[in-house]
Amino acid sequence: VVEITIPEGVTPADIVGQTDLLPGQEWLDKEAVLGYAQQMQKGEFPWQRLQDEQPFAVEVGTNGRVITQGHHRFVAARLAQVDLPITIEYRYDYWADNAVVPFAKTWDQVKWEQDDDQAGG
Amino acid sequence: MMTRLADKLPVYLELYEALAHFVGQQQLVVRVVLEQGIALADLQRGVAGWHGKTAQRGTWGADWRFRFHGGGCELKHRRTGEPIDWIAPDPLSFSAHAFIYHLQWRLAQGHPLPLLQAWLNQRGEEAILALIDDLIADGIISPERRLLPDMGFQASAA
Repeated sequence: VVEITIPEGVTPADIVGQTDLLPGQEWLDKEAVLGYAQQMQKGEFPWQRLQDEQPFAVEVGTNGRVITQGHHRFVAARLAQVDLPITIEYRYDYWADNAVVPFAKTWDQVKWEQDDDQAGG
Repeated sequence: MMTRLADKLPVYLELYEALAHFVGQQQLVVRVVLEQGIALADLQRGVAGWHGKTAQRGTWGADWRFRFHGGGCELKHRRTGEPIDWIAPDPLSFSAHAFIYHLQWRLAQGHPLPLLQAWLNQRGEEAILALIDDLIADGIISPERRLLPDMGFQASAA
């Protein structure tokens, strides 16, 4: 089995590819995604333990289905090419208003967080 | 019948102390969340809980960087790299996964945790998680992963 890596220049959008799930946050920890994916590849990822602590959740709106919890797990699963062995929790918190999930982004907007001191927004 | 910490292998006491240390450090993250104007209960909504109230990442004081992620927030020390991740909403409940990550950082820094170091080296992360599960089964940690201080103090004094 070839160990998974994320080559320089590969973006979260490159890893995710085609999907109808939209991201809700802009920054991801590359090291965490890689570590998760390597554990998933070996069948050692504690899916249920993380699910118990923080369920994988998606907000549903007229602008799409937007991940609100579970971004790192989702991208890691795509990287490891494994299916999510958990049940996604669908939430409709914005349905009563205009049903637009205000934090929806596209995968092209999602970036790796750099371990430097430029964190500011 | 409740099992006492003092009746268990010494590695459990070292683990309990490491968990108590982590939960203490976790309070720094709780402070950051509150100072960003976010109610702890709201954070369990994931991104929906902090969107529009704070940037996803930023700095806290001179020494720390924070990053919100889903229903949690991680602090990382700018010089030492200490990673403290907290999953909402209970400030006294720890994430086992976040604890392991922090433990690995402590061991890499040379913190004196010889029994946990040996346990991790010989048996891996899963074995540490199993030790935590044992403490939950024994009633020393609650099922919500809260330390039960009376159990720890009684055990240490016994």
